[in-house]
Amino acid sequence: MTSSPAPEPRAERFVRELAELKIPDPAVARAALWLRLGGVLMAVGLVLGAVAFPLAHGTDNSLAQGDALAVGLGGIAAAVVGAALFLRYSLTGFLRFWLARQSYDLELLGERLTTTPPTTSLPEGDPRNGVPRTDPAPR
Amino acid sequence: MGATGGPLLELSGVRAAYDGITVLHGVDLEVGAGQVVALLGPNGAGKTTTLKAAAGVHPISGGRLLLGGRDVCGARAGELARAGVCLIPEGRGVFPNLSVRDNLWMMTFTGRTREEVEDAAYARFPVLGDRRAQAAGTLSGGEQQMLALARGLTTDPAVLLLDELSMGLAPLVVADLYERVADIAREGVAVLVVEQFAAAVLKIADRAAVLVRGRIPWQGHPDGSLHAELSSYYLGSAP
Ligand SMILES: Nc1ncnc2c1ncn2[C@@H]1O[C@H](COP(=O)(O)OP(=O)(O)O)[C@@H](O)[C@H]1O
Ligand SMILES: [Mg+2]
Repeated sequence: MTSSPAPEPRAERFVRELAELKIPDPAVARAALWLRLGGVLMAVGLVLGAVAFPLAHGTDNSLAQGDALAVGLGGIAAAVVGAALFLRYSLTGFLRFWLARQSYDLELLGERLTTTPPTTSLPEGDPRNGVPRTDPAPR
Repeated sequence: MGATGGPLLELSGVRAAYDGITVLHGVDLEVGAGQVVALLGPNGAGKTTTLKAAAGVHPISGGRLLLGGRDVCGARAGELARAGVCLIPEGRGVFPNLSVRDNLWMMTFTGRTREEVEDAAYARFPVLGDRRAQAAGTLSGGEQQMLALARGLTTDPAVLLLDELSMGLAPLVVADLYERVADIAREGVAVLVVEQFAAAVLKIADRAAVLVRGRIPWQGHPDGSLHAELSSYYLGSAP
């Protein structure tokens, strides 16, 4: 009922626990899945490629050797695809950061260029471009 | 109201669909701690779906679901339940072939001991104590509903969602049950009750909302005017 002065602790705990609750972002979960798939494909591909050699080497049967070749090629293909996936999903996070950093730097640079006074205020003919002399000996 | 002063449960423009067919077209509801809100509506209006959405069991396709002021879209229902959202579904969901005691003992997964679970249940519903060895399926409808409530309460809910508590029960039994629900709310629980037939729940409700075809055309204090509203919506004469 509205009039009852409800004992709040349970409600408070509820609010706190929900505030602490980690809610998975479905997009992030999907990206993590692709990333893992890429990693697995890459590893499996490499293993298949490596296994193909002893397979082919261990037999005189040229049909079996052909099969081993196919395994090796499949492995390489899987590794390439896996690497592409892996790079795509591991680099995006990094590249996003890098891009943000880049644009921040650019902005900073632009600000510095527009606010620094023109260099013509430097004393004319100073070979050191205004940098103070630290060397006491005359040249 | 909650610790932050806001409602513990808030649905804002919630939409939900089954297989692409939208059945909730923007539902707004708020339930504060210690409040009982009655959601009334005819069969198929989307009352159960609203409760499922509020519990995070049914995904919402639009709008926002806030629990304790937090937008919890995308959270797992299990996590919400652990935090204190308890849905008691239509049809009670007790195990008919198990004894009352066994039904209660199942709730020890919440980390309580058997004694704690039993004591709490029997203290609130003494009749369950008298029938502890009886198969739940042989209890009366009202007693089964009490057992379902007792089971739900072992999870120490902060938000309690009740679906058609009165279904198939005699009016006196229903009135008694709703007294217990009012007690639960008085302890600070936010209670959202869904009913098709209003009379009993309106005695204890702080607010009422009418749900018709997935929309809430009326919401307010449950007083005399609501009855006129209800009959017009149920009989289809409202715009
Ligand atoms: N599992 C489901 N699959 C498809 N449609 C459903 C399902 N559950 C409910 N519906 C439909 O959604 C609408 C609202 O249902 P529901 O929320 O159960 O209504 P209420 O509880 O108010 O009687 C109804 O038209 C119903 O047919
Ligand atoms: Mg229903």
